[in-house]
Amino acid sequence: MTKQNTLEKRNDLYFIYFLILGLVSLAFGIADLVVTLGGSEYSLGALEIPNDGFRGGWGGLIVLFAGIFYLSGVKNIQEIHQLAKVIMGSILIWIIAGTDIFAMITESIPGGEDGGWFNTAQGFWGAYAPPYLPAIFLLPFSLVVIFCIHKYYKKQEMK
Amino acid sequence: MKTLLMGNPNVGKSVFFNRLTGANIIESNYPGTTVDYTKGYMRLEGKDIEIIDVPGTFSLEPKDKAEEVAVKMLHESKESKVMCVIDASKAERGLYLALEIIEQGFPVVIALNMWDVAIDKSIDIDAKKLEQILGIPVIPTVGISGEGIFTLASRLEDATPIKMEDIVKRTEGIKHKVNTPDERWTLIEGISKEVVTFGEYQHTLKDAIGDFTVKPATGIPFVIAVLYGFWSVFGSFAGFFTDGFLVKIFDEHWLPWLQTVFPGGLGNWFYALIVDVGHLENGVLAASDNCFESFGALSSGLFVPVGVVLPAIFIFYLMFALLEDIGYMPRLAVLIDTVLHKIGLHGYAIVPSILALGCNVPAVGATRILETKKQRFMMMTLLALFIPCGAQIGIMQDVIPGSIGFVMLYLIAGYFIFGYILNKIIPGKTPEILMDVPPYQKPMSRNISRKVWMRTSGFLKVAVPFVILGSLLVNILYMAGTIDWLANILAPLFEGWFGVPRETAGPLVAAFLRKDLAVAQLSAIEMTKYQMISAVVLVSIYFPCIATFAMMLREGRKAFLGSLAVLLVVVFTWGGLLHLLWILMGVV
Repeated sequence: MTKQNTLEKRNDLYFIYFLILGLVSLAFGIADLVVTLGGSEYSLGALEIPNDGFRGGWGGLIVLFAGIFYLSGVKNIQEIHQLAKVIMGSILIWIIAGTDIFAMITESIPGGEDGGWFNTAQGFWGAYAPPYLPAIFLLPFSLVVIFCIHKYYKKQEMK
Repeated sequence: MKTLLMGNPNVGKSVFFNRLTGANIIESNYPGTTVDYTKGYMRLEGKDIEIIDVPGTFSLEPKDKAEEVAVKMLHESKESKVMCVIDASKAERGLYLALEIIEQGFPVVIALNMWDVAIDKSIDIDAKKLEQILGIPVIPTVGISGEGIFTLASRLEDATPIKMEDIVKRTEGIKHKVNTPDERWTLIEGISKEVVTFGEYQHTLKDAIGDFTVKPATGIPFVIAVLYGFWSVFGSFAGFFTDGFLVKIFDEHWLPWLQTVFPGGLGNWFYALIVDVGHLENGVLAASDNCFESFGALSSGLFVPVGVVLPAIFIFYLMFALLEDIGYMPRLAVLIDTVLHKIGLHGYAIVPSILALGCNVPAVGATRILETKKQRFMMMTLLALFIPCGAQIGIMQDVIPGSIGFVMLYLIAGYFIFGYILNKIIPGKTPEILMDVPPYQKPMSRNISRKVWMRTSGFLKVAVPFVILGSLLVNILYMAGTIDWLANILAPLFEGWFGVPRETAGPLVAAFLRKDLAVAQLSAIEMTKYQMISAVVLVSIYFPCIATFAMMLREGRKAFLGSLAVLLVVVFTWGGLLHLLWILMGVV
């Protein structure tokens, strides 16, 4: 297999991967907005789509933007500007998921209004139990972009 | 010996100042961080050298107030040496100012700062050749890491006045004298040809992301995400400390302890001033069970600044410093430039606007980065009226957690509507500006921690005494019957026009000292959700707190009086309009 073929195959893999991630992000973003406009919270197994204006409304809009970034950057991802769009999509997911995880951490430690200074072990672990926001599910998949960045710089070094 | 630290805006002069003097002044990678001069001392070979950090200027023909300060400083320091800091990646622009200073007869040393950035951009400057041509010491430096700064300081004694004719003679291809700006640029072009080499620059991934964050189509979603993250972390962090621990410390330990050990007891005037005014339960005076309602100087007076506001202010300044140091603020300025031009301001107005979300006092000072008197007046007025400080937002999160978004939206709407009106009626120019967008960079923990410490400690120094004083003053006014008298006199205005209870008069008096204290006091007044929103909006758009007041007065009496006149109009219209909105919605 020639070097050109390997590159093309890798490009195809990236294309499929980020196309699916983009479509899922877009769908989650739209679902967030629809649920927020609808007014009642929606849960499906470990997934929770919030209905509040902040997490559901603004958060949903950002997940939707992340999807658009992924989809617009998915073609020819080895090109610097296309890769930058995909990275920006991931950054948006990291912001939403990161702030939600930070909120979980800050809620898990104190004992609450009627409890002691610190939470019980059960309460602490309970704070991390599902359901989770859509962005939390997207988080591990969005991290693949770090591999792409690593590959990009490796390629630049070789040049 | 006195040395002036001069250079274009945003070339790292404040970093140099901190490195040379060991002082702590704020460093940021956007212009206008230094809008006034700062003095410090450097010890070199047994001698004390006075260093003055002068605001950035592009030339000796000032275009804004900060540049005026810089030029005035130079003209008043005839015996000084000048350390001219130049951004090595834009050396020509810095050389223009350096040549102007040399022309004035000052001994100059040049720091070719951001040497690392120049290398990244494949720009090579022959510093030795430049030194030969100019006849003054030229040292490559990297301010952030400290590289070259010691050499620069030690070469200060080699600086002597140089004649422009000598520089012209040493520059190949330049024969004419330098009298006009055009001739100066021609000379710089000649010097540049000899010393600067531009290599092939490849667009990096960092550049590509940087470009996308300033283009509206891709930058606006990014701004929304950044603000979302900012607000979310702000709420989680402040809630963690305040609701998780500090409320418990103050309500379950500090207040009961004060109530036990403080002499006098409920009903005693001194006890009421310091610990707890109490409240009526079935006609009997009862002790307060929380610091929000006790109103004592040592209970509410400490709880408000330390228990509620400190965590909010700390996290606000931490995130603000991160955004500054990463290099996001200039991009935000570029992105918002078009919108702010509609109200007669420009992109960098976002700096005082966001600073005001921390504290209005430094924000008023930061208005000096705006070029015209009109812009400075507008910015000062708008931020004093429509931008609640971090302390107030922190308290709002506790008092009206569900309605804070609406209050902020109403204030933002006021900011733009009154900005638009002021732009139409105030004479004066709103010039275009060229903005420098530095590359994204890794934030330095030393710089971040210093900024957060300086800003937070500065807040505590101002807030704690003012909140304690405010609590005492409002309690005294209550006891003397002044607040009730005021409330009765102003009842038609409060109840009829603004739609809030007449008791709001008390918190509004406190608002003059501290707006956070005022919002905390509102929580003790019985009112509907909508009245509470109106009251919080009133506290925001009512007179700025006394510290902001003093700062505004420093910026000029005429502008200050003008701001007050606008303020009165806004309080009546914008406050009354909200009441009208509630009437139309049928919620009054």
